[in-house]
Amino acid sequence: MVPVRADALSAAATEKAAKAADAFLAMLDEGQRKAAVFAFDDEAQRARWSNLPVSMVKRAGLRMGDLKPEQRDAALRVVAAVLSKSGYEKIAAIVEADEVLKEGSKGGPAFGRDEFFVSFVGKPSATEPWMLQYGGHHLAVNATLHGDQGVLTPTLIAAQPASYVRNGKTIRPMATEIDIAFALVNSLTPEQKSKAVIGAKFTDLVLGPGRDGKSIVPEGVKGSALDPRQRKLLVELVAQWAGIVNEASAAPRLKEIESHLDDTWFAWSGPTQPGSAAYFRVQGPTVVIEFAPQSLGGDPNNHIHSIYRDPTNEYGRKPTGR
Amino acid sequence: MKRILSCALAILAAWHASAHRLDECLQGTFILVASNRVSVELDLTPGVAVADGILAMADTDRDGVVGPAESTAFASMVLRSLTLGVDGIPRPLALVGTAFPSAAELKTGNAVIQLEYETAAIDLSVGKHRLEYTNRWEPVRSVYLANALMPTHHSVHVTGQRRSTNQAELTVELEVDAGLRSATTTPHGSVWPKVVVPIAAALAFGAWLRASRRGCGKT
Repeated sequence: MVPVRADALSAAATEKAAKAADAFLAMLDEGQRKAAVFAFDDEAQRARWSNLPVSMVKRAGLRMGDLKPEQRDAALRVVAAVLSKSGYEKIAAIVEADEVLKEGSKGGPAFGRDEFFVSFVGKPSATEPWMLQYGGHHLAVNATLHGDQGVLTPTLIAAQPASYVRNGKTIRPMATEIDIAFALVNSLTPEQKSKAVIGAKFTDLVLGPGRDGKSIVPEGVKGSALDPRQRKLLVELVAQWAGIVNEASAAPRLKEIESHLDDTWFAWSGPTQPGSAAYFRVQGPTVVIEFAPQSLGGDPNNHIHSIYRDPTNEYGRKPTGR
Repeated sequence: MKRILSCALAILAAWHASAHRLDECLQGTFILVASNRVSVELDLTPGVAVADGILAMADTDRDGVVGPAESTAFASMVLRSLTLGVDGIPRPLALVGTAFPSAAELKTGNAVIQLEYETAAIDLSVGKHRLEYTNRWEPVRSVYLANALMPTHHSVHVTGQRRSTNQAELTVELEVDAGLRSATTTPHGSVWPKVVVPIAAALAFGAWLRASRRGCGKT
């Protein structure tokens, strides 16, 4: 039996996403189509994303609240086709958290499911490059697809409230990453911890929105100083972000990050007691992940921001030599 | 009047519930050690409740627009609260450039005022060096982040960073290897990261874009 090549799987995933995008675009009128699709070289649109509500930072594209129910479903099918099952569930839970925020707010910024935007930078295609943008308050999915390549950097995922109840069930959109991060920091020896824990307080993301192209000096404990169990936890932690994109694209991406694990750093700021509000950063040659609880307006654990970047491949710009 | 006041308070309360930075200015510093000088980028993001106050500091003629002379004066005023030293020797910073958002953008509480400074030429000898930076501007209503950027010269290495708890102070430990002496450097070292790197990046992106359109490039 001949094994199916990973790039063939990725190409099939891109084709599936392009078909879903074409089906969505076919449901729109001419005006909506024009608003949804930007030229592939539109750098302003490419960088138009934020953690802030859409009433504070304007987004472009189609507002979900302005779509008919069947159009909205079709838009979400595109998002689902680009992402993995677990990635889509995470993003859906973040959007639902914003709906919870809306239910608890009177006045102020616009929140809720209706306030998310979908757009394409470049025409969706199985072979030519294009980008799906889906985002709003606390969410910016920037997925660049090109044949067998699916790149999710930079992408911002955040949550407020970070824990809520729906239909009697407690939802924590970013629970797994928090649990793994605490498991990792508490697995460190005192010597490793003395390197990993940075004394200063980090009140926000260093490389958040608007910080494209910046490359900071890594800090903390290096992957080469970790034991096999700790390295496994580090990979599992990274996978929480790298695995948001569809499985076929996520697999080679994780392999790439793992190949640089010796040179991947893990840094922590804040208490290490599980349940505490703490900042952490994972930084390697091809990955930067930051996680920052927001100490404003109540429980910092209930308002968290995170960013996922690849300093060598922002918006899928890395040439592959082919 | 009472109605307007209660409305304003309700909006502020709702915004506070949404937990965005309102009454603080986020001051993010990025320090770049080049082959023969140090650049400091200070990004100020005033929250919506402090934006008017900061705008008033800059818009001195009160015409609602921060012109080039006003933004330069503002950046120079901020500069008086910054210090930078290398190996214990003060290295005065000079203003290189500013990018000031419009008043309307600033009032959203999301716009960034970018201020860029750099030292005069520094002769970084082979060996260890220590850079010390402090930011004392508007301490009461500010939160700080301070980070070293990856050096653009392969012979300059950042070996450690230490910060005060609130990040208003940053110490950067450096090591310079012999490659710096033999390397070709311009008389004005920071020209490379500012001009050559963006041009190279733009050319590379253009080439990639063209290749992508031909179907032979990959993202």
